[in-house]
Amino acid sequence: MKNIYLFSLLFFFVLNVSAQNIIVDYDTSTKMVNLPYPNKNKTRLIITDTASIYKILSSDSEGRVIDAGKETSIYKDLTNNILYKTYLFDMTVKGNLSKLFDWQLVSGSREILGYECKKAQVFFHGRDYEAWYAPAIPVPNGPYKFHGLPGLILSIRTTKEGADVFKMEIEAKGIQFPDEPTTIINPFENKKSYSWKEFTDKYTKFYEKMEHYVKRDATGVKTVSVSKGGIEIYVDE
Amino acid sequence: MNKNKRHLFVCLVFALISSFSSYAQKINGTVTNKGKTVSSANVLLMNEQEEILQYTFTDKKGKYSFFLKSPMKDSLVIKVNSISFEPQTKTIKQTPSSQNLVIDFQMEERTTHLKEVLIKARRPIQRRSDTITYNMEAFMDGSERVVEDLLKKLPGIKVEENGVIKFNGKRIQTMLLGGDDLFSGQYTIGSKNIDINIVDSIQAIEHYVENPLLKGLVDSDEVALNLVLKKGKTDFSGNATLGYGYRDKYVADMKGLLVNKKSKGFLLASYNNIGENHTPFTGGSGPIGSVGTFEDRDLKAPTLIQRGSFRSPLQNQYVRRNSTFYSSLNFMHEFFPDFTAKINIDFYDDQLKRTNTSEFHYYIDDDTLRVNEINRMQKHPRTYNAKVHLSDKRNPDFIWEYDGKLNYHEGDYANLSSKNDLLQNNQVSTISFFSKQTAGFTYRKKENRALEGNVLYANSRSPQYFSLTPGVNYLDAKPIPESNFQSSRFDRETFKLALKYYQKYDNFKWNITGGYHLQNEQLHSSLSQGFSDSLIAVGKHYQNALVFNNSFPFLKADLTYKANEHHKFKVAGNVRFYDFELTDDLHQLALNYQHFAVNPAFHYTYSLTRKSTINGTYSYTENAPQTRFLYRGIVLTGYRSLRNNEPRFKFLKTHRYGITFNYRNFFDLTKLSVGIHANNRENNYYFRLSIDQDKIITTAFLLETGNKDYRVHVDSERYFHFMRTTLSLNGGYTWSFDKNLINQSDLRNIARETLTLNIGFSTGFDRPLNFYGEIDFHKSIYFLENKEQHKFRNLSGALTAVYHPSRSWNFSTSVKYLSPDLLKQNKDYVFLDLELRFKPKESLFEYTIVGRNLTGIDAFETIAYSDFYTASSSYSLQDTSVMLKVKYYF
Repeated sequence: MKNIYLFSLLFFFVLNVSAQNIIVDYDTSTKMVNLPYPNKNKTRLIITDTASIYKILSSDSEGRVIDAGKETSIYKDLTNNILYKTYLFDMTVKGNLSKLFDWQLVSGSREILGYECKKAQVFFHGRDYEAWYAPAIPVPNGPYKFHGLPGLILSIRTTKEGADVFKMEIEAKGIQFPDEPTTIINPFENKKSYSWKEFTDKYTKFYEKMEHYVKRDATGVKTVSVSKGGIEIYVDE
Repeated sequence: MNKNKRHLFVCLVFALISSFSSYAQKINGTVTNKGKTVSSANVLLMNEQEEILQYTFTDKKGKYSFFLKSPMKDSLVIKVNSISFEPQTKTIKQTPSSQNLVIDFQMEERTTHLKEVLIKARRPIQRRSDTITYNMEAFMDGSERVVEDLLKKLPGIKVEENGVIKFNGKRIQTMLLGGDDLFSGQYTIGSKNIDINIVDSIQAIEHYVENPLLKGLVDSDEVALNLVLKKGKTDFSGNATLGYGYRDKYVADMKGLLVNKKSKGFLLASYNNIGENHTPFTGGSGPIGSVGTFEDRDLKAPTLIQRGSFRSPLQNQYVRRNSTFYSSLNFMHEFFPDFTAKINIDFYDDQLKRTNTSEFHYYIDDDTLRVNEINRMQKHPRTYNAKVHLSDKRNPDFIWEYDGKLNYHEGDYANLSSKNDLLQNNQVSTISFFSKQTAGFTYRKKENRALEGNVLYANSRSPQYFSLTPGVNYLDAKPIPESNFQSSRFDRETFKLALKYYQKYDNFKWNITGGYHLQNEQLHSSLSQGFSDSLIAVGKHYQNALVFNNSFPFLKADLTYKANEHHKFKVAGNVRFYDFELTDDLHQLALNYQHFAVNPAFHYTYSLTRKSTINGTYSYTENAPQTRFLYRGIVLTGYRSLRNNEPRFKFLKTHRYGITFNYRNFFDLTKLSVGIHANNRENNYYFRLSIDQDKIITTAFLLETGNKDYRVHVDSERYFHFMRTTLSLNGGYTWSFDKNLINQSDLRNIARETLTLNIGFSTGFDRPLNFYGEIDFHKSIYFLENKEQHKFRNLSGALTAVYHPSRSWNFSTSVKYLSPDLLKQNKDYVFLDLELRFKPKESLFEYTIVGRNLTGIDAFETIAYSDFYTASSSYSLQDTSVMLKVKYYF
C-alpha cells in the first residue's frame, strides 16, 4: 500500500515537472477594533497547480519555513475550489472558493514589485476591501482567503478610515517562482469540517455567554472580553 | 399622435430585443497546448485601452465562455494568461451582435521568466523549538510604558488584573530578565515596573527547564517569559505609595528597578500597620519563612518551644495587629558574557500583638476539667536573608553554578499569661541560623543525554531560651521556684552528593541518580529551676543530649513514556540503604540500625478526549524516623505544655492511592475535577496526653497499628448564560482515623469526618455595577470509639459590589458575614469595607480611599474542638480605619 502511495507520488511529481510554483511573501498589518496598535506579521503564500497555502511565517534566519501551527494557515484546494481555515474551538470551516467573493473591477493602476497592478473592490464578511492584482501573474490567488481575481493579489487593504475601526493592510514584499516540484499536503484532510454558518452560529452563542462571564478565584475577580470576530466578523452587528 | 406612439413602441421593443440579444452575446473557446487542454488559465476580456471588462478561468476541459455584459462597441481584446505558458492575445473586430464567437487558443510553453523579488527581513514572531520570540517593534504603537502594557498586546499572552501572566492559558512560573531570574517567583514586580524602552524582544519559553543543558531531557510543564534587553540601554523606574489613615494607620512603600548593560537590580522597601503582609515571611508560625522554605525544610534545624499562636479564621486585614517593615534588594552583575553573580538581600522586622482569652474544657473519662487562660502576646521577629548565586555558562557543553544562602532570624516573644488566675511572665528568645552552599555542574555533549552533578552542604542551629516566672515546681523536695528556664537547641548538618544521568530515546525520557546523603543532628535541652540564690537542673528526665547521625547511599530512577496521545506513563523508584547511629547518653540509649528502603511510584494519564483526562497514581514510601520523635527527655514547650517521646526506631510506611477525573470545556465555560485519594499507613506515631489543671504532657510513641484516611473532592465552575452569572462549587469530604491515650485511658480510637463546601457566584451584567459573592460551610464531627463526641458547623459569606463607571473611577464595597459556630448560640459577625480609587487619565498619580472594619467590631470570639476538648477564645481586632493612599509612578 505504501509503495503504491510512493509510486503515485512520484508519478505526480513527474507530471508536475513543468509546473511553476509561486511563493509570495507579504507584510501584514492588522489592527483589531478597540486596540490602539496594529499587529504586524510576515506571511507567505505558496501556490502550486493544485493547491495553495497561506500562513504566518515563523522562520529561522535562513528563511526555512516551519509550520507555525495549523490554526494560522489557510489551505485552498484549487482542483475542487475548496477553501479550508480553522477558527476558534478548533472548528475547521470549509467553503466554496468560487462563491466567496463578488469582486468589482474598477479603474486604477499601480506598480508593486515591478508588476503593473489593477484595482478591484469587494465587501467580505463585514469589511470593505480594495485589492491590487497583477494580471501578468495569471493565478486567481491572494493572501488570506482572498481569491478569484484575474491575477495574483499583491496588495489588499480595508478602505474604511477612522481611529477605532478594524484595519488590515497586506502588501507583497517578495515573490519567487521556484522550479522544484512541491506538494502541499492538505493539513485539514482528516478533520471534521463545518460550514461558515455553523461556525458563526456557535461563535455567536459563545460571544453572548462571554459577555457576561465573570471568573472568580482565590486571587479575585476577572472578566474576559472577546470581540465580535477577527479579520472576519462572526457575530452580526 | 397614435402613429407616433406606435413608432415609439416599435422602437422601444426593437431596442429592447437588440439589447437583449447583445447582452446574450457569447464568446467561448478552448485553450490547449500541444493538443492537451489547459485548465485554470486566466481569460481576460479587455477593451482597446486594455481595461479589463470581464474575466473568467478555463475549466478542467480547457473551456471558457463569456456572456457580454454590454453590447460590443469597439473591438475587444481577449487575453489568455497562464503561469506555465506565454500569454496570448487575440483581437475581435466589431461583429454583428447576434453572432456567437468561438475563439480558441494554442498556448506555447513559457520562455520568459517572471520577475522575482527576494526579501530578507527580521520576523516579528519566530519559533525555535520551544521558544517563541516576539520582535517587539512589530507590536508597539508607542503608547506602552511598562512591560505589562506590551504583554497584553502579544498574541497568546494574557495579563490578568492581579498581574498574573498566562501564556496560552498556562500560568507562567518565571520571568527572566535578559535570561536571568532576578525576581524568583515575584515576577509581577518586574512586569509592572520595567520600562518597555529597554526591552528588545520578548520570548515565551514552553517546557521551561532552568538548566539550559537539560532542555528536552526533562519532562517539564513550566512556561517562562524572557525579556531580552536592548544592548547598551540603562534605565531606572519604579513607583511609590504613601498612605495615612484615621487612628494612626500608615502605609508606605517604594519600588525601584535599575537595568543597564551588565547589571540588573530591584529594590523594595515597605511599611504598614494595617494588617497587610506582602512579604514572603509569616511572622506568626515558622522561624524563617521564605520562598525557598519548603525545599530547605529538611535541612533546617527545628524548634521546640512555642511562640504563641496568631492564627485566625479571619483575614489578616481584620485580625493582624502589626507594624511590618520589609525591604528587599536584588542585584545581579555580568562580569563576563555568560558569567554572572547575583545577590538577594531581605530584611523583615515585625511587631505583632494579640490578647487572647480562652476557656478550655477537657473531657476525660466522665470528668470535665476547666482551664481559663488569658494570653497577652507580643512578638518581635527579625529576619535577615542573604543569597549569592554564581553561574558560568560560557562553555556551551558544560556549565557550573554555585549557590550560597544565609538566613539569620532572631525573635523575641513575650506573653503575660494567666492560667486559672496564676499570672506568669513568659519570655522566649529564639535564634535560627541556616547556611547552605550548593555547587553543581551539567555536561551535555550529545543531543539525547546529559550528566549533572551536585554537592550540597548545609548547616543550621536553633537555640531557644524560655523563662517562665513564677515557675512551676518539677522537683519534689524543693520550694516553688522563682522561674523555670528551658533551653533547647537543635543542630543539623547535611552533606549531599549526587550524580544524575539523563537520556531521551524515542518516546522515552529517563534519568538515573546515584548519590550519598549524610546528616548529623544534635539536640540539647535542659529544664532548670531558678531560685533567688541558685539555679538547679530539674534532672535527666527533663534533659536531652542526643546525637543522631544518618547516612545512606541512594539510587533513584525516573521514566516517562508517552505511548500516544491517549496514554502517558511515569514510573519512579528510589532505593536507599540507611545507616543510623543514635546516642543518647543521658537516657542510656545507643543504637546502630541499618535499613534498606525501596520507594516506588506510578503515575498514569489517560486522555479520553482533548477536554478530559483521567489520572491514576500509586506510591509507597518508607520515611526515616525524625529527631523530633526520638528524644526522650521532657521539654517545657509552653507555660503549661510539655513534650517528649518514647523513641522507637521504625520506618513509617505509607501507601498512597489517587484517581482524578478532569474535564474542561472552553466553549461551554465548564470545568470539573473530581477525585478520590486514600492514604494507608502500616504504622504511625500516636500521642499519649497527661492532662491536669496545670499542665499537659504530650508523649509521642510509635505503634505497628496503622491508620487510614480518605478524601473525596469536587471542584467545578460553570457559566449560565440566562443569568449572566458564573457559579462555582468546590467541596471535599474527609474521613480520617487516629488513636490516642488520655491520662489513664486505654488506646482510644478516634475518627473525624469533615465537610467543606464553597459556593461562589459572580455576575457579568452589561452595566457598570456587578456583584461577587461566596458562601463557605464547614462541618466536623469527632467520633470516639464510634460514638459521636463533638460536632461543630460554621458558616461564612461574603458579598462584594463593584461600581466601575469609567476607566478612572472604581468603587467597591464588601460585606462579610461569619458565624463561628452554628450549633451553639455564638455571636455572629458582620464586617464592612469600602474602597474608592481614582486615577486621572494620563496622570502619574493614583488616589485611593480605603475604609476597613466600618462596623467597628473590636473583638472576635471563636470556638475550637478536638476529640477531648473544646476551647472558646476571644481576641481583639484591628481598629476601624479610614485611609487615603497616593501612588506615584516614576
